[in-house]
Amino acid sequence: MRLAFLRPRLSLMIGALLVAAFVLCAALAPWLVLLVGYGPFDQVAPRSITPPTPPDSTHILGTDTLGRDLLSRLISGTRISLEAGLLAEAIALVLGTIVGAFAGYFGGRTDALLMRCTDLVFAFPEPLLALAIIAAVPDPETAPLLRHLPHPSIGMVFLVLGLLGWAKIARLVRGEVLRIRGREFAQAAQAIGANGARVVVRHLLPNALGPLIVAGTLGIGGNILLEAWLSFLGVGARPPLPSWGTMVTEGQAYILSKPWVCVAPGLAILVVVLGFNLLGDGIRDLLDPRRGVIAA
Amino acid sequence: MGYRPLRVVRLLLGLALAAAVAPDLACGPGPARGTKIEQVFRFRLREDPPTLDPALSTDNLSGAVLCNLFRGLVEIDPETLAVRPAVAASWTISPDRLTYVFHLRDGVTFHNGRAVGARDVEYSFMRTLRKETNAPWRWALDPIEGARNFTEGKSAAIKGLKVVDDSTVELRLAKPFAPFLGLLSLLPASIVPREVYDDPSKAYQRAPVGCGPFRFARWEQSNFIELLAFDGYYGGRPTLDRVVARIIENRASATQEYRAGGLDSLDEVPPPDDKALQEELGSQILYYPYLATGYLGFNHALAPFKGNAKLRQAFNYAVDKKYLWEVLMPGYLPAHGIIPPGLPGYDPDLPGYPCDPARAKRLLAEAGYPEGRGLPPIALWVNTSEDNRRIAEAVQADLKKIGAAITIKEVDWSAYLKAVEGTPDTPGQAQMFRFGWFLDYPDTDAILRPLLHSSNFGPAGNHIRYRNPRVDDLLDRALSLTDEAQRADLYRQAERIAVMEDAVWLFLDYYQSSTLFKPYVKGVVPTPLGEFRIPLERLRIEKGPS
Repeated sequence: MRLAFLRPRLSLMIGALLVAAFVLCAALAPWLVLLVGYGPFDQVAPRSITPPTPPDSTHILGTDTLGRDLLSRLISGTRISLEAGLLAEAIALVLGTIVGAFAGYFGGRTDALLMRCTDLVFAFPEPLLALAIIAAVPDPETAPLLRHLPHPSIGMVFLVLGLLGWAKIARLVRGEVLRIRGREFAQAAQAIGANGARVVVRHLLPNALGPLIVAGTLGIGGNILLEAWLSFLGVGARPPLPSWGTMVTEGQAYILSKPWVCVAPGLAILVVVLGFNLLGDGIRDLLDPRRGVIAA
Repeated sequence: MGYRPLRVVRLLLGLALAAAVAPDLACGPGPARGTKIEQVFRFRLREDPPTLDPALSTDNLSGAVLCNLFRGLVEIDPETLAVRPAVAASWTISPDRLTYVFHLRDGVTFHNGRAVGARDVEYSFMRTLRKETNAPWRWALDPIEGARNFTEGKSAAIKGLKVVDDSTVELRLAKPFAPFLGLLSLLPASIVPREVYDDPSKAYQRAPVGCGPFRFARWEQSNFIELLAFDGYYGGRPTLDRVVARIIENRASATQEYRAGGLDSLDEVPPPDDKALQEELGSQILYYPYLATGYLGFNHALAPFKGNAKLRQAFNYAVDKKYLWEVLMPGYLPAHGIIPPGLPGYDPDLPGYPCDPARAKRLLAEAGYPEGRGLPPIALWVNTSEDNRRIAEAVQADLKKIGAAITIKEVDWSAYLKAVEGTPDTPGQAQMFRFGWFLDYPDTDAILRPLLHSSNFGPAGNHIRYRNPRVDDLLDRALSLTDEAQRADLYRQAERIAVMEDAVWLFLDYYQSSTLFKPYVKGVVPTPLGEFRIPLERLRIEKGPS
């Protein structure tokens, strides 16, 4: 009993630690870079040696293919990853919750229609759909709205990821709403004359929060991975932005002769995504009373 | 001394491997073995050549084989790039630069033993120009008067082509065109025997017959193409007895094959950062200029480069080309202009734009964008490739240092070409793009005219839509001159205007060829025409007795 209680806690702890470190790193990135001493865009390798130069005492992780400090780029990259992960997930959550709540609460035709829409999104492999949408907007730098962002290409990525992620959330919310709608407290609220919106927002959604948090956390990890993947393919963050995915691409030609160039960002992606997944799983286990019982 | 036994073992191993890999190669026809060591040269081709028909050849793979089998009226000296006699022993040009009379050399025979005559020249040119042949490089013969009409079926003969007697051919041009002789050296102008090339079953596609120094022996698809020395070659029998073009697609396998002794040369050299391979093979790499220039084009029809030479100069001074090509991506030469070394018009004294950030900043301010303020968004277009991105990022970083922010746009080749080329009437959408220009024929005209003459807007080559009447005039005048020194001088003047006054591009690099040769391969003549045009008839193998 005791062990079973501890096990979910352990993954939760590791996940929380990794995620906290990552978020802290992203929040403090500009100052951390100062601490490193080299900007992420500065070509700091000696002008006489063909970069990438190997790790040494001045550049702990070495430099990349243009002679820029890898550590500095890696730290700056946390911002891009976090931005893409969080903002995309926020878009997905908002959209998905609205659609899911509508479908679940009204049921019938509305439900059928909205759920067919989610089916439509599910029907496409996520990465392919993302590629297709990005290909349809070839110029984020000049696209309306996007061009006002500091990094239009990244804006495009989190928009696309958000637009892809909502379907999962909508399904989840709908299920929760359907489940809770039949409960006594929901019916009581309706009985005393609360309108639909009030019932959904005040009574149904708060009770669906647990699964939403889990899905959101896992979703952030997934988004970070997808962002890296898109950037790896050259359709995500535009150079010289230090997206981890871009950094892996730049290093792949050197994977045998100078492995540090792509191993460092690759490991970073691995660790962060692992962190979010552990955290998400941990929260789920914590919130799910049945888990404990079965494990015991 | 201690190395000796090892070396013998390695040599034996190499021989054993070669014998194992290609047992049938080792005992092909050739001089009787035992009397003399057979002289064999084996080089690598990436893929099967798309064609072995000289009229259809446009690529360097088919060129690599065909340039040994065929000859035209004239040929290009691989070292000096001057035109020199081939099937024609001499020629005269009329004072109006329109009529060329060629006197054929005595004793030129095709590989099938028949003597080459003036009728063969007529037949070969008609074959290339005929519509049904579908020769992509028909334009090489287009300057001949009436060539177009013949192709379009409006006349049964080429008006400007006359067979005077058995060994004299007269060609008349529609208008003076100085590089014409150079065009006659191209493969589509090769002389071919009618009895072979009239074959309706087209057997010649797999068994070409010409009058070059080597004759075709056989072609095993995806494996090798074998050529044998032609005893009756008018220039004397080559020293090599046999040439084998081995088709090895994979770069790593080719490198292994070269190391093991199965290849005597290799067109792909180990990457500069592969220390181990560099140490082993570095001394066998030959670097030599190649007729191609790399640049970043500024679109002169779009803001902000339109009419702003100061801005274009500022960009030029900002980029550290020396670092780019000597440290970051070794293997190219930093460019100071347009005409690559090796061409007659090359100008070693052209100052160009050495890296000078202070000057670049000053010019940027004079251009109206102090510290880059007010500069509209600029996208640098490249076609997707690891190297292109690296070059683009290096340029981006250098420009950032003077305050000019640009973005990089990576797209696939066809989308890229569309954005870069535009049409003759409308500019492409790319404001700035990376491009490399390989010369179609070794004449300065072949780079300046397509890229800078205002009659060539759009896909013809002047993607940047540069228009300067002085440059147009110099290029046009050069075409009607025949004195090569005078022509070269006009080209240098045009280049100076385009580079120093107008800064038409961001001048990046001159290309270089790099090829591996085993130390026992002697007589290598590095040529700006490319690694596959190194004349094999001058090679010899000097292996010690094994």
